[in-house]
Amino acid sequence: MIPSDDQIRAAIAEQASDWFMENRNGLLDHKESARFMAWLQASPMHVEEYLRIAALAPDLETAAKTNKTPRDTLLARARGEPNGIVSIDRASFGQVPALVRRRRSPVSSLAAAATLAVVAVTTVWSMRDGERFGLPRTYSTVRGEQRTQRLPDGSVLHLNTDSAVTVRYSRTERLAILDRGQALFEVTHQDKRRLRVQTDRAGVIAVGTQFDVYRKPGTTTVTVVEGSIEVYRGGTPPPAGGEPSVRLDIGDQLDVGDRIGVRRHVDAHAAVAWLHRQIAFQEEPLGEVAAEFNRYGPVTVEIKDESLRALPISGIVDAYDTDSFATYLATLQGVIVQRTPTQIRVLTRESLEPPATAR
Amino acid sequence: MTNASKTFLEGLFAYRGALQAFFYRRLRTKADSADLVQEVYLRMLRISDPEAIRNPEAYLFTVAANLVKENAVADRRHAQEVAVEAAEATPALTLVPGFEAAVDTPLRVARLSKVLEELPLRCSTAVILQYRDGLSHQDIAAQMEVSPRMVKRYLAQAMSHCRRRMARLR
Repeated sequence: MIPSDDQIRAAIAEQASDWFMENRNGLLDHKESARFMAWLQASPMHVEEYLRIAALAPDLETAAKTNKTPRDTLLARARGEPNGIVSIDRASFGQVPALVRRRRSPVSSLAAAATLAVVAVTTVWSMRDGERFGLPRTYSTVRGEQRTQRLPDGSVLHLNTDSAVTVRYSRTERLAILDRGQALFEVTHQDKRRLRVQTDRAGVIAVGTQFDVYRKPGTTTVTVVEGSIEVYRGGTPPPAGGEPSVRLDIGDQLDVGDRIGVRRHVDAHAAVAWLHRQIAFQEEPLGEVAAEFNRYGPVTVEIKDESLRALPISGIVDAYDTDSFATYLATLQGVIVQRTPTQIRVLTRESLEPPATAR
Repeated sequence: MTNASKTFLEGLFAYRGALQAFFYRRLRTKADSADLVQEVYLRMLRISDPEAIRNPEAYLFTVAANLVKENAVADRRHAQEVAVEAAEATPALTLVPGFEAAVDTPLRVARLSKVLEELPLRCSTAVILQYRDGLSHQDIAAQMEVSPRMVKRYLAQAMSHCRRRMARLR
């Protein structure tokens, strides 16, 4: 599932929950019931989310009943929780502009009011942090960590392992500097300022789209997951008449190093497989796949043999599942895998056999 | 509201088995959850006069439950055909545990309790007050010192979060 799908699902799940609660309050009146029917008929996803919420509710009741904490303790803790941090995390992804309901039922106005409240609180929260006033802020992950962060403008930043992004907002643009590693940006349409992502080699300019930027030594790879973007080479946007920027559309991928590479079409899902802690590769050299794998866990894959490094392989592996990857490598023909606590050594069968016994 | 709490899930229990069969068990025949959802949706679309339906939720649940039954019948027929050919008795009407049934009810509930702990405290507290203590939204609002609207918001977020976290189990 690509992230936008996830967001849409989240928004629909919240709408479904709203309707589910309305229905629990007794029979809907004539108008409301017509609206609810229209909502159900609007999309199979609405039907699915509603049924799933309804299937979940009895389990939720059972789960809630296993909680033995006294009510007063719960209430005291809930009141002690910092105000308004209701939804800085993924729980609030529901506010997708495209999903604004056409007709404003009391349910949706109520949801909208609550959304406003959340937005207001979030704004206060972020103003306190100074991002709105242009003070830079850095988000980072260590090796093996991934993180999702909602930015003050509503955009969402997904950081892959060992990555850092510094965000600086000005009157005219939202600037995100990818200091290292890889990040997926889900840019909101609501903010009219352009969003610019900058690495040492390349820059990306976007409004309302999703794209992945991967800063490697000497090369930056940009992949468009949704919408379209402009990519340029270098540390600042090109002046008028300078080297033209390249427009990329959904599924396009581009390497930028000393020169701008050739645009190619890729599976955007595979490019952001890391969101699901996976590495997806299609006919890619084993050496490169191993290098990808080595970004994540404590165990690294070492391949000395050049011909082995060039061997094209295809598959999807869990980025943190060393055992599966080692097992997979062992299935390759003519390959031997040796394990140590910190390494997986991949060797050709021949290299192990003493020359005297060679065929 | 007059103690809506006690009756919060009332009316749902009749459909509980059918609803859970939809997502937590794989039906024996080719149909899986996605196909079934599509079929329910199509049947909801075919309603000639949607305005005439007084209780869309009950209608939806009935459509879903019927579909589960139809599949079970198709299963049995299928099973009988196989039985004749293979001369081997197959228990009729069994819902064979599938992929998703690996997570059975006690496990699902245990997992859900954990997921509840991930929520902001306001959300999980609202859930526990509603489902465990049987309080109405108004009562929860009074106890938590927030508006009833906010309570609904917390609950919607909680349910949406749980639903998505549980989906990732697969």
